[in-house]
Amino acid sequence: MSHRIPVNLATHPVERVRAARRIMNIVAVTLLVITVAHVAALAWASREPEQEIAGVGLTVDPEQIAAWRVEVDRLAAVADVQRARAAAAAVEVGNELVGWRMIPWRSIFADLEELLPRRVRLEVVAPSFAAGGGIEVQMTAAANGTGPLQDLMLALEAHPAFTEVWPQREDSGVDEFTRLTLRARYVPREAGSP
Amino acid sequence: MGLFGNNERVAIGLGARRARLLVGRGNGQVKQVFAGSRELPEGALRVGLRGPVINDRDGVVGALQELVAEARTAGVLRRTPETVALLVADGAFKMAVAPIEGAVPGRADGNRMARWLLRDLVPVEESEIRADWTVLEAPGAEGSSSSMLSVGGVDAVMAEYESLVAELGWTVGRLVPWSFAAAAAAAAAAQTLQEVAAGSDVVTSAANDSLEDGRRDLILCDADGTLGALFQTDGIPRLHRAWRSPVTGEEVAAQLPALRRYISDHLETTIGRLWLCGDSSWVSAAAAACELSQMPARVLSPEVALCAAIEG
Repeated sequence: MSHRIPVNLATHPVERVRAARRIMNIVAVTLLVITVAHVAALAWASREPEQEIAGVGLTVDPEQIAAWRVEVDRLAAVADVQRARAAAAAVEVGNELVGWRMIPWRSIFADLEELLPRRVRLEVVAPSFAAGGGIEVQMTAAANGTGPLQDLMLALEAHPAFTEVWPQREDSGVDEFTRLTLRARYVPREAGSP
Repeated sequence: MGLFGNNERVAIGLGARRARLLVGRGNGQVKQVFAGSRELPEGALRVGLRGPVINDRDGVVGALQELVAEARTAGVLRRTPETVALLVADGAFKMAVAPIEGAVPGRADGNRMARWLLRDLVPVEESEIRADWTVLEAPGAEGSSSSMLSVGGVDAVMAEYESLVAELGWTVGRLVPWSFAAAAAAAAAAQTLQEVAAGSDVVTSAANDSLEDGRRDLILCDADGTLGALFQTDGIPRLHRAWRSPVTGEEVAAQLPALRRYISDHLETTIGRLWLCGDSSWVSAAAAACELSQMPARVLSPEVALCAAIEG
């Protein structure tokens, strides 16, 4: 405990200097806290948020998403290469067939039989020579509901002999069947086989 | 000071004949780590209300620089101290006390009042007075009473003293009369005595007497060539005197009757305890003289007063 008589004749009394220093310290600490808070807020705001898959409520780590993106890009690149190769082969074989003016019926039916889903029935198969070269197959498939017809579309897209598939028309007839008309570019797997 | 600051504190005592330097460490109670003194050249410093007071600046600054160098050799004062207190002989100050009622005045009003109280005591225009003031409360029979204590001197003289410290590269943070620092040291010593007595059954009565007498302290302080006297009751200064001409230890006893009479006539009280603060030779002679006058005295060293000035 100080017993000092509290008078001080100095031009710069230490009490005032200390008070000023205390205020400076408080201001400095406050500024530091604000700066740290800002930096923390900035870091938090710039962090990539976790993504929620709508309707599922499943949250996926952004790093996982990034990894998936890389994988998808890689697969897409592979698919593009495969598609380009298939297109090249189709042009080559198509030109050859056009040159021969032959429709490779056996090959077409063999491939269709291979890929045709169980509850789908093919009603029309009409191959023709495409204007730009190659063979286009127009077909009408019937099934009890749209599900098997979609399975057919997926099977055609997945099959290496059919390079491009375009749905043309879908009809729900008076009977219980739904009919889907589509066109597909066909490339026989063994060029030259009739 | 803060976490990374220096906690060294310095007290410089200036008298007409001697300069003293004390270095202490600590933030609350200060522990002395260095103390030294140097004789000043004859007539280098003149104690008085009017300036100029420094007749030989180089002599005074040289003495202070020697002390600082000695302290640095002893391993202290490597950095600028946190506080520099300057104790100046009482002859450079005047004091006035006035009772006040009601609210404590604000800073500006208080400054005006402090100068006004000192206007007849300090021989310059009011605007040339440097003053500081405080309001002290003392318990009484009819409740506590407030008094305004005003201490001041001539601004130019204070600036002269501060300029000596500035030559060392430091800024004065506390400027007080020697007797005020000695009074603080006396109060601290009295408290210690009471605390020691309170812990012992043997000296309980002595402690009570001491407590009662301690409310009426007379401090006589030899600031190396000039004598200052401060009488306070209940910790409030009531009387301040300074003898500008040297008063030897033997002559102190001669001044005591006059002081006693004044305290009795004007303050209507008596001296409870007498404290002597000064060099050992002066204190020995003064204490012996006081003993002969039936007035036993307690002794304080100048270092204790210097230390008290940098505490708090």
